[in-house]
Amino acid sequence: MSKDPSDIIAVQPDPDRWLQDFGDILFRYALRRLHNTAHAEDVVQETLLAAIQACASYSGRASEKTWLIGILKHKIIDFIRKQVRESTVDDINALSDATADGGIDGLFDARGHWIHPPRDWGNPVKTLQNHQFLEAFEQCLARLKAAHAQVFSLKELHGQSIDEICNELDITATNCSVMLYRARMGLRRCLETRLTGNDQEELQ
Amino acid sequence: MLSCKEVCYIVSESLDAKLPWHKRLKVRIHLLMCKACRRMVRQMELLRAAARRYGSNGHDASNLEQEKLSHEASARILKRLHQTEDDPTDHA
Repeated sequence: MSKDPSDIIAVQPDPDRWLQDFGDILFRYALRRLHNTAHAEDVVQETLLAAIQACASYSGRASEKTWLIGILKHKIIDFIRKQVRESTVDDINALSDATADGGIDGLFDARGHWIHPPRDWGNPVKTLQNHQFLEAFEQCLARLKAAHAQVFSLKELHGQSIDEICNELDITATNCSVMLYRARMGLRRCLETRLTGNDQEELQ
Repeated sequence: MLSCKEVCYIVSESLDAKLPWHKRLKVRIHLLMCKACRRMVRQMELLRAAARRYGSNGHDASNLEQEKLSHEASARILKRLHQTEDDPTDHA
């Protein structure tokens, strides 16, 4: 079937087929950045809604898949921006308040000393090769506060620089550092509980 | 003298940017005397390695490659999409 670019006519919205053909691809792409099933589903829906509206401007030059993923990328960034905006104020307050970490994470006492010092995780090389460790990592990432998981993911899983993240999300480098700190401490604690049992770690 | 909490924050920062020498020195002095924080540093490094691994090929290790939109989610999204399409204001 030959196709002259000049023949290309505006694509009719076909959300049923889009969902059937590309729904899983879009979902997985979103899940890799958001680490939360419900959030990933939401941005897929937002993407397809935007695609219906934007159909007229689709030139047909990019494949439909590329076009939809382009829209999805914007929707993911919008989503993360919103989460980050909601989280930033809490994060800054928690960090400057010496007792807040004790209240929120149960990590440090009022003088900044460990309440439960880190435990031995064993040989790091072996730990890393352990299939269960990566599974636990995935689960712990999903349990972090959404904004923290998303910023951590951009930085550490997708290799973006602090500058890129700050620009994209419109936050300061300090905001970014605080969120990364909280993500790392949350992951560390969650993994420790899973690796070494939760006898003294669970503070309810 | 830095507290353990301060050391944790600075160690996290140091994973993202090169810190001034005086800050690094303060952390080193603390680490010489604090076994708990030495462990924390090793764990932070392990976290980074795990993230890289997970980010690159970790999708094999997880079930992510097999993840699909659930039937419920598909149905919900489709319903929402058709609401928009059937909205008479769209055809005005």
